[in-house]
Amino acid sequence: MRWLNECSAAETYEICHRLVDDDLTSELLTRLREIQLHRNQLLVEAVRRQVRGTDADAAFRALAELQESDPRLMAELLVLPQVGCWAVDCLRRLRDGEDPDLGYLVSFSAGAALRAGRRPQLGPGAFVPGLGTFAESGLVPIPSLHAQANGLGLAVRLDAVDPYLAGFGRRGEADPVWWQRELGRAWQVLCERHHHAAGTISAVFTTLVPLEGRDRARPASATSGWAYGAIALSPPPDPIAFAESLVHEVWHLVLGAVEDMVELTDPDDGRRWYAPWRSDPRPLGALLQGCFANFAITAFWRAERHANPAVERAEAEFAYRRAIAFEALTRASGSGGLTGPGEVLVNGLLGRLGEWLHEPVPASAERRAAELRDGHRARWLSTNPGFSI
Amino acid sequence: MGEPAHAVGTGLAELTDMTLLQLTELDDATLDGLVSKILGRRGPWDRLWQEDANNGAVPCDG
Repeated sequence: MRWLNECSAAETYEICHRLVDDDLTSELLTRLREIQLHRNQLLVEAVRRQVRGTDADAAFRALAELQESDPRLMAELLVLPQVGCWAVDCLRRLRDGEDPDLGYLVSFSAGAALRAGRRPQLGPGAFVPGLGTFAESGLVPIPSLHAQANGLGLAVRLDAVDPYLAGFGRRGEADPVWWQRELGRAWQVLCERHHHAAGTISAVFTTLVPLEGRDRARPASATSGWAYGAIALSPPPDPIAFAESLVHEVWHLVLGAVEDMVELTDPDDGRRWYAPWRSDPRPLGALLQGCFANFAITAFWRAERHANPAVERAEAEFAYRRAIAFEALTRASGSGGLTGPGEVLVNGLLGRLGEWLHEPVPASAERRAAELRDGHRARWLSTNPGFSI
Repeated sequence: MGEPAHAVGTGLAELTDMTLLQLTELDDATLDGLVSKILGRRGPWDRLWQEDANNGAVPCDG
C-alpha cells in the first residue's frame, strides 16, 4: 500500500491548495463525492466480513449485484449520508461485542431493489432508508425540497425519520411547506451574492435533517464526517442566517471528505486546544475543522458587507469571524502537529485572512468583536481550569 | 514542514475504481489497514462538527 499512498501525494497537496484558493470546481467536488462513495463501500465491506453467515448475507450480495447491473443508481444510494453512519455504528458495536443493526441493511437493500424496478418483499409500514415508508399503495417518499435561482438549482431530502441521522441533536418539525419556502429565500441570497459558494452547496448538500427550534439569532446546526451531504439545522430566523449556516456546514463536509483521503494532523497528537467558538478544549483535527468553517463564514460576511455596506450585522460578523479564525489558525500553525498537507492548508488560509485583516471596518464593529473575543476567552478559562491560552 | 504526504494518505484515493464485488476480493490486511486509517487509531471516532449554542455569534441587534 505504500506505493499506492505515494501515488496520491500530488493529488492531496493539490486539493489543499485548491481549498485555500476556494477553487472548488465541479471536477473536484465530483472527486470528493466519489471518495465518499468508496469510503462508504469500504466500510460496508468491513462490516460484511465480520457478519458472514448471518441473515444479512443475501442483502450484501444483492447490493453488490445491483451495483453491477445499475452502477449509477447504486452510486446515488451508497453515498447517502446514513450509509456511512450505519456502517460506522456497526463497526463500533462489533468492536464492543454488541449486535450490529443488520435489519437496516436488509431494508436498504430492499429499497435499492425497489428503485431498480424490482419487487422486493416489503410489508406495510416498512421503513426504506433514504426513500420513505412502504404503504399498501406503494412507497410514501421522504419529502424533497427544491430551489432555483439565477440558473442554479438545489434539491435535497427533508429527512426527519432515519435512525442513523439522529446523532445531530433532537429532531424537530419536518414541515416541508415551511422548509421549502425558507430554503427558497436562502437560496436566493446565496445565488445572488455568493454564487460560487452556492455551486458548492448544490453539489454537496443532499439531505436536510430538521432539528428542534430554538429562540436565538443563529440556528443550531451540525454535520458529521460520517454523513457526507447531510446538514442538521434548526429553523433559521431569517434567510441570511439560513444561507450562512449552509455555507458553514458544507465547508465542514468538504474538509471531512478531504480528511478521508489524507491525514491533515498527527493522529497521535492527544493535546487539546482553545477554539474561540467552543466551550470545551478541542483536538487539533477538530480545531482545524472549525478554522476551515470559520474561514468560509468570514468570506460569507465579507461578501455580505460588500453587498450591503450599511448593514451593521455584516460588519460586526466580518470583524468577529476574521479575528477568531485568524487566532485559531495561528494556534494550529504553531502547534507542530500538522502534516505536510495540513500545513499547506493552514498557512494558506492564514495568508488569505491576513489580507482581510487589513480591510477597514467601523470602529464599533471592531469593538464589538473584541468584546466577544474577550468574553468568550474569559468564560472558557473559568470553565476549563488547568488550561491556558 | 510536517511529514511528506505519501506517509499520511489513507490509501482511499487509489481504490475509487473498485466495486462492492471487487472489494470482496481485497485481502484482509489491506482492507483492515485502510479501514483503521479512516476510522482513526482508536476506532470509530466522533466526527460531529457542532458549534456551541450561539457561541460566538454576534447578536443581530448589535
